[in-house]
Amino acid sequence: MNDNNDKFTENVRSVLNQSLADLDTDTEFKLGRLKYRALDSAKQKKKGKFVWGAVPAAVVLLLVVLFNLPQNQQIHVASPDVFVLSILTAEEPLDFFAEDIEFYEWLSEVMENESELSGQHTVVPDIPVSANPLSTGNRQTGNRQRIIAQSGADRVSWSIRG
Amino acid sequence: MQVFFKSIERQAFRMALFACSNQDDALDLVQDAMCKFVAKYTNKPEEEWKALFYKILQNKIRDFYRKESVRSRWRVWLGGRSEDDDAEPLEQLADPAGRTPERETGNRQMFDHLQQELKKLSLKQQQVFLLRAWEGLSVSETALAMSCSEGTVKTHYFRATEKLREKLGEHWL
Repeated sequence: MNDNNDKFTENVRSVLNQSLADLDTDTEFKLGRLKYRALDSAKQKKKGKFVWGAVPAAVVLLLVVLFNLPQNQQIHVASPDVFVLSILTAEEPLDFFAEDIEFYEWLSEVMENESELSGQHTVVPDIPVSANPLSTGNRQTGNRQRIIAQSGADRVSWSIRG
Repeated sequence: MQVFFKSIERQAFRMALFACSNQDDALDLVQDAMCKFVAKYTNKPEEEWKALFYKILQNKIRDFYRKESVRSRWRVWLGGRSEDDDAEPLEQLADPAGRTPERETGNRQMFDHLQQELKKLSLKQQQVFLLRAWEGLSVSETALAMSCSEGTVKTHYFRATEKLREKLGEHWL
């Protein structure tokens, strides 16, 4: 029975295979064409997917650039301009900025601290009105402190200018 | 992929033609199946391609049958004549090979006979028989292609073989 089945199936298969050889050229041509059409459709779909994927990516990139770029530009571009402007408009000669600026900055801080300390904790003796050109004749304590602070600032300025 | 299509395109066409009996419809079914296969299953292992391709083709054939049954119901209900009604009845018979009398041989007569008997089978029996006997798919692969259980495949294959053996006669054994 199994042998008969195998032989029957084999006969059927050979007849069906023979029928494939009998396909006319027109059908063969059509089959070849639709095969390439199917393969082309897959390529076009891939291209379409790339385009549709690129659009959201471009939008996200644009938003990132729009929200981040102006802030960065303000930081990086505006700061040096202000610094340069402050140098150009300063009263000090340009050599001052080129040479010992760090030393003078340090000296300025020390002098400021010194003036603050002297204003808060030290007992300032009465200064004669005639000895202080900035005095207005008022002997109140607030005026004295202001005068001392002013004199400290003058000393720093004098040190800086040489 | 191209090599794979080349290896199965003619068998797929013949199977679709057995199912729908119209050359253009069969070509459309094969093309649709190829397009869908390329779009969905190219990343699958090559060993599975055959079963997956025939699964798509079987789905397309089933869809075609559904649409055809709806169309035929409408035709009957409307009582109208279709475009093909004007043609000669003999011209409506499927003859996709375009045979001429000179090309008739014994083998072709056997094929005609087989074709007639295959068309008398139910669609499932016919397709299961072709997938198993001709394409050489295993029971599990045929079950995958036909979207049914392996038991159903075995039953359909057995019944189809019995009917064909009975109809085609002893000289096929």
